[in-house]
Amino acid sequence: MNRWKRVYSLLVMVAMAAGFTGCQNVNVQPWEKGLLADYTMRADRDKLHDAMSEHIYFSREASSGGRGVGASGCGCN
Amino acid sequence: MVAAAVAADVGDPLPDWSAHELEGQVPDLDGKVVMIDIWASWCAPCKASFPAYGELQQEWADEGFVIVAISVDRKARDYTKFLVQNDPGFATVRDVNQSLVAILEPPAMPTSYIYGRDGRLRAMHEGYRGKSTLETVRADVLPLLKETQP
Repeated sequence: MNRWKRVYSLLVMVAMAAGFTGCQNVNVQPWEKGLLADYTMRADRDKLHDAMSEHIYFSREASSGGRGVGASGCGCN
Repeated sequence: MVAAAVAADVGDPLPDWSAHELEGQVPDLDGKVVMIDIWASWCAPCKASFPAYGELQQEWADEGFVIVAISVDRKARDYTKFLVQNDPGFATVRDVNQSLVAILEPPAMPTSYIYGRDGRLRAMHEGYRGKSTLETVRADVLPLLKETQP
């Protein structure tokens, strides 16, 4: 049984090592950035979604007005 | 896609057009000073460069200057739509499989490659920075236009 455990552990380690090295040479070339430049990749593409996210954020964090201004919205200063 | 081992370098010959699937027609480049411009419809500086490069093409056309703009757009529709909206005034082709651009390996978008009348690469320009880029292009192209055909 121990032997099978050792083999299994070894296989898992080999699979993990292969998985990690698979990410080693992932470079997006300048001419391949079309997808990244797509409108759908913009974080601010949906105004309604932004408004909803903002509402959830300030409701949860009690931080209305806390984005994009000098203070945190906590009323500390 | 498999990247080429070596990017384009000064002294390299013009690309072998027949080795790549291109949408559009490459004009006759024999004995011409050629500027290959790598661009894409999604690339804002590329779009900004087109009117200025169009003027250069018009200015030096009689002296044997030819711009070939190679699009790296994956979708033919994006390429066509861009050209309908922005008539460049010079030759454009689309590198359908991005195989040509993988050989040239431009370090940025856009990148322009300037070849002399002998068909050898003389200069490269990374990006487009308006007036400064145009001045550099002029400084590189003008002496080449004065060279005689080998």
